[in-house]
Amino acid sequence: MPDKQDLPVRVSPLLPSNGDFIVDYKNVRLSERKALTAIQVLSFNGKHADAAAAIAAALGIKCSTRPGIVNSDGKTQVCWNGPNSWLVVCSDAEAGRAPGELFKVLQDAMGELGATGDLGTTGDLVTTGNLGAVVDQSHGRCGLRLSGLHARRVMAKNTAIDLHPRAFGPGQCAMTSVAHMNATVIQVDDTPTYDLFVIRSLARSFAHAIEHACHEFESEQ
Amino acid sequence: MLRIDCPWCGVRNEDEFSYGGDATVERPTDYASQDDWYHYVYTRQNPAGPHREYWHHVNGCRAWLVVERDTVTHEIFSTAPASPNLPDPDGRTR
Amino acid sequence: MGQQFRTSSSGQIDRGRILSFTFDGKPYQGYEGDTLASALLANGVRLVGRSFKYHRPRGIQTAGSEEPNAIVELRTGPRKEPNTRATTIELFDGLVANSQNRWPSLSFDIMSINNLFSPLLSAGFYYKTFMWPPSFWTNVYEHVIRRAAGLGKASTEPDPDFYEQCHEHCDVLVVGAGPAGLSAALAAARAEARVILVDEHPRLGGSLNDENYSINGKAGSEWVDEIHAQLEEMDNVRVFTRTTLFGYYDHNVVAAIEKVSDHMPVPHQGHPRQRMWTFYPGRVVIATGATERPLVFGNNDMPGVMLASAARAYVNRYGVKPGRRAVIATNNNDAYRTAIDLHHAGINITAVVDSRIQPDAALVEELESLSIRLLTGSTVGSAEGHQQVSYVQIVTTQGDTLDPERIDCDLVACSGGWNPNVHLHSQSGAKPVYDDSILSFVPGKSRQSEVSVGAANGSFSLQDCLAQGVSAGTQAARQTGFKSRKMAVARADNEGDYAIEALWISPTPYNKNYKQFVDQQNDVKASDVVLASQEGFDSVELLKRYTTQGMATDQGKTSNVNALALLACQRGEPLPEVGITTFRPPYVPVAMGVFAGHTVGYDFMPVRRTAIHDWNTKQGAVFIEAGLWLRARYYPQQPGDTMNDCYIRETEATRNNVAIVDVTSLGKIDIQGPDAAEFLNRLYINNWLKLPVGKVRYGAMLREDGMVFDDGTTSRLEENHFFMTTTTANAASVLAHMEQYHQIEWPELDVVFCSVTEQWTGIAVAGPNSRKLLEQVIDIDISNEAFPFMSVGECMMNNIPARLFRISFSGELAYEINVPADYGEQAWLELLEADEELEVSVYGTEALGTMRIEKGHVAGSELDGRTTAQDLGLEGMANRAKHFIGKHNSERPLLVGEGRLQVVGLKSLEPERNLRIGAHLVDPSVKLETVSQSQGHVTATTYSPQLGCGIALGLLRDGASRHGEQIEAVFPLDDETLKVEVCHPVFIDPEGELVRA
Repeated sequence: MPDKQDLPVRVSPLLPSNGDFIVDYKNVRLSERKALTAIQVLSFNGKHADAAAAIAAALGIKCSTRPGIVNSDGKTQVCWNGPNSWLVVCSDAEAGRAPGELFKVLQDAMGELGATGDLGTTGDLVTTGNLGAVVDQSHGRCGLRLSGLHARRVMAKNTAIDLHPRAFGPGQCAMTSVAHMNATVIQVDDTPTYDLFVIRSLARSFAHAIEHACHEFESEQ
Repeated sequence: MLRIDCPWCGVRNEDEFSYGGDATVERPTDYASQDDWYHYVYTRQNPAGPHREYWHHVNGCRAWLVVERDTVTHEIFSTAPASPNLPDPDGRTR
Repeated sequence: MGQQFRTSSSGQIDRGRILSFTFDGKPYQGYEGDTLASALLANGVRLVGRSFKYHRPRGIQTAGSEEPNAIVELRTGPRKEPNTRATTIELFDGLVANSQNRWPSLSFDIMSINNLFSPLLSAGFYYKTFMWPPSFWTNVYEHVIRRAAGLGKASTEPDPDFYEQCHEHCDVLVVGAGPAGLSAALAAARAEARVILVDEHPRLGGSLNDENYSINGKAGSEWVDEIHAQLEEMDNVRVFTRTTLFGYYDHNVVAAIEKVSDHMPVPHQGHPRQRMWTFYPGRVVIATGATERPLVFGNNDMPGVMLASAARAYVNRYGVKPGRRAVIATNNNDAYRTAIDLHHAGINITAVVDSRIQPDAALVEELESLSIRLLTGSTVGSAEGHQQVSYVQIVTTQGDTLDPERIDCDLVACSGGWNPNVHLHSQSGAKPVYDDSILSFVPGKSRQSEVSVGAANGSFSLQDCLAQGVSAGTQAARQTGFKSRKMAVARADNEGDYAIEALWISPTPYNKNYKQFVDQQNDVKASDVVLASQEGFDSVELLKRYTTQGMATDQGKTSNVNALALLACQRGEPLPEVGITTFRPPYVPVAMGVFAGHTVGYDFMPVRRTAIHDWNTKQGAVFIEAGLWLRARYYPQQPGDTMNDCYIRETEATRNNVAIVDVTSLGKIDIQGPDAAEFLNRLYINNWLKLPVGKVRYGAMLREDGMVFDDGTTSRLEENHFFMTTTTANAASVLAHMEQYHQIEWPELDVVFCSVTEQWTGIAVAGPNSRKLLEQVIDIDISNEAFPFMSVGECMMNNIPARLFRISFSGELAYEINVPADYGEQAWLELLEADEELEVSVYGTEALGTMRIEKGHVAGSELDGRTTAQDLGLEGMANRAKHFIGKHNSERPLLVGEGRLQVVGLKSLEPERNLRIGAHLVDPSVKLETVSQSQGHVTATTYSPQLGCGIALGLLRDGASRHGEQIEAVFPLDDETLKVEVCHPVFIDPEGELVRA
């Protein structure tokens, strides 16, 4: 079996031939966060707080049980992803992790999922210590970063949620409809900078809509 | 347009949700009569006024909600998680 | 000789900036700050259009968005826009406008003959005249009516501009930036609420721009500029000009249209033509002012007849004299200001005609001091002239009509009173109420978080507007959670009473029949209202629909109250008894393009593309839409390849060798937890508890009504870890269904799951050589012994991590391989290139469909929501000893008895002829005449290269027991009949030896 280090180059869903997607205007910039690792963790019944604590301990990053919160150490984002779910996102290269390492770390944090083997003969399940399930979504999400003075105005053309600084700021995230597509919105800083995650198959439709919304600011010098 | 206050996500536009039917109807037990099962699927009240409905936050956190809504004025009186087992909106394990 | 109707100095126009434009091909000049209407008036152009029904000459009646008459076609070519109101079009250099609804020319319009036949065109004429014979409805009547009663023509070329939609939230939304709105916005903003202020004009100020009021000792416009500057400085305020709030919806959601680029020849690069805003305010302050209503007298639609306030606006705001000799007709004090302002602008006021017997003494005195003649107890009975007013005939309101005085004039500025703009209030769900003191409707009890202030609230005094604005703004801030601060109310320097007395219709000179228009845009006359009432259409809603009053693009802004009043007179009841129609969005016409926003062309709808999409595109694959997905349907190899050529070739390559197909779009759901197996056991009709790890099982699930919902394979990856696949079509609904049952019905089950459809690229590898191919690239033993049919395993495909499934949709020896999607294209290429000798090919959904029909696998066309597991031959899988969704209702007698449509195979008995989808299955002894004679229908068809004939799946009454029967497939639309044989739905390899080989 080949070493994981020999994995093929990951091909972005955004452009043919794995090109670099970029919109670079003076006051707004849109680019792809390529080859992200995105791991979804779902806590089992009654294990939500324990799972959060385990994630936090494993990563050294706070993991909030409260909705709409994202914690980050600047490299890895731990993002609320539903009533019993988080999405942990990073670039392995930036975070200094080997491919697959984050998945393993989180899986270890959640504990053994249960005994493997033929249920027909073993009968009872081993479940104690399981805090949650860990699911790799790295290839299933396209990450875009929208940043600049007009980033909020670009977002306002595509989403109905309130991103005004009084309502939304760095450290907050939302799962909502953006350009009529499901997306996760994370505010990274108060430039403002937003990270947007959308399912892979919609990447081009999504990026096109956001890019279109940027055109208004193209001519600003 | 309805604005539905998801207990987890806050107030969102109706187009993030899909309607999930009458929340006053209870699913019969596995051993209920054929008649009970028939009524569960096919007979519905159609009240003009306050009503309890399921809504699914399908373009958001994917939680199923029970929404108390006036079918005449569209006023929404309350929104609550449909599941008793999901961690509550304050993040507390239930 | 241009702009001979300009005043010497007044107005907010920039006389240094000359703009050129054309109207009906003739060149004119205007100034920056003009509207098309003001520029036309400045050039003495008074005839600007023909009316809708009677083609009567029409001019400019108002100075705002309520305009019923001055409707023109703007621009040319792809940007041509019909039915725009000259009164709201900001003039720009190079503007081209044309009159509409006239032929051959505006001054000589052949269809104006309708004017003479008007008795035929009275209320309800459509219903009365164009009834018989029905064959004429579409062929003759519609044609003639559309030609005669048209508005402008839209461009048929693609719109070169784009539109967009935006969202913004705020605590307080103030609609209208007149004295009340500005005060409200400032008060709320000072309390630090997030404030949005919208106004439809390019400049804030509202009526202050039209009047020569002063506030706090300064000119009104100066006060406006000060407030505007203060608002702009606050970062909690957003000011939108050229923005009209057009809709007030449930839950305090409102919509507005911002005319971003309409005031320029072409939009700036990257800017939309118009932008639709959805606002989500905590509270709405409606400061939309009031609209003046015309007087109803003979020929009151003639060019030169204008609202008194509009005449004032043209003088004060645009520096235009709307005429040289004016008669002012009124039933209230307000129009006196028109007389005075016009007099000061150098217009000769030949008379002020007041219907009241005793007008306000101070105003009478003021007119005297200006030597303006005043006639009291009188009104205009008719306007007379050829294509524009040259004189009026005065009658007394007491009914003395036989000796009308004739007064020469070229302008009649009339005021029948003011209607508060209660449209938004009404749209919000509230009911306006009648206020006898102003003879109009005012806002009633609020149903949503809104309040009307100033003229929109029926308060016509400037001081009241300023005070109500401050108070509403302060309260709105407090109600949305802000500490309000005291703010001083500005002081209005001019005040006066309104003092209206009812005059709903004028007596006509000599009591002759005159056309007295109520709704000028739809050509509805007072006599139409009377007629409708006489014929029994005497409720407001019926009146509106029967006469079309209020149903034009102006929504009856100037006509509604007059029509209601006339109906009340006719019914002999007080006006409040008659009621008011409900106002509905949009308040102003809104271009369809703005509702579409940027979702046109590439963005028309989101498209889901697989990792193989670019390769497919390069190969020239023909795509098919499957939900939002684009899937490769077939792959033409050379020019002229038809779909049939392709799928037959692709099917044969699969059956004889090996081929691959992209199956990424199948739904994939990762399910984990101690109760995962139990959860599946309740979802599916078959057993899941004892599925061994490393094994795959085909499952079917029902809806609660007992019909089959979806099917697919689910694998047990680990003890408590399953991987489910769904059909492409039901991927989203199956997930929602699972969430519904897990969250609502079985929360005690300790299981979690999520969609992983996007994580994996799915590739099916099918054909007798599929194992041989995979052995080249897979690192695990996939011999039949080690990896038998219905196995699943993790492996590496070269250097790509993968999951391998031994499952078959085609009926051949086959596998499905899932790889992380970013490696999908590479995996695809590696499979194609793995073995040069094998000549691996590809197939699309068409060949996929052919092979599934040959194999008798049911799919979406059989899972049509009306078929049970038994109907589909899946009942054998069901374990009725356990409980599963849909179990009880699937056991209802009618679903298990005889007479059900059951899935069958169908073979064409005629060479070279294929079955058609949707064909009825009929007993050969019966000639199909009624649908009850149909015994079922064809659901999916193909030509089978394997069998060498056309085959199909169908649903046939009691079909499972009718194999071997010969029946007919009848397609009545094309009168086709085909002899077919009923057979088992599995056409090939019924024992499944191939898949297990």
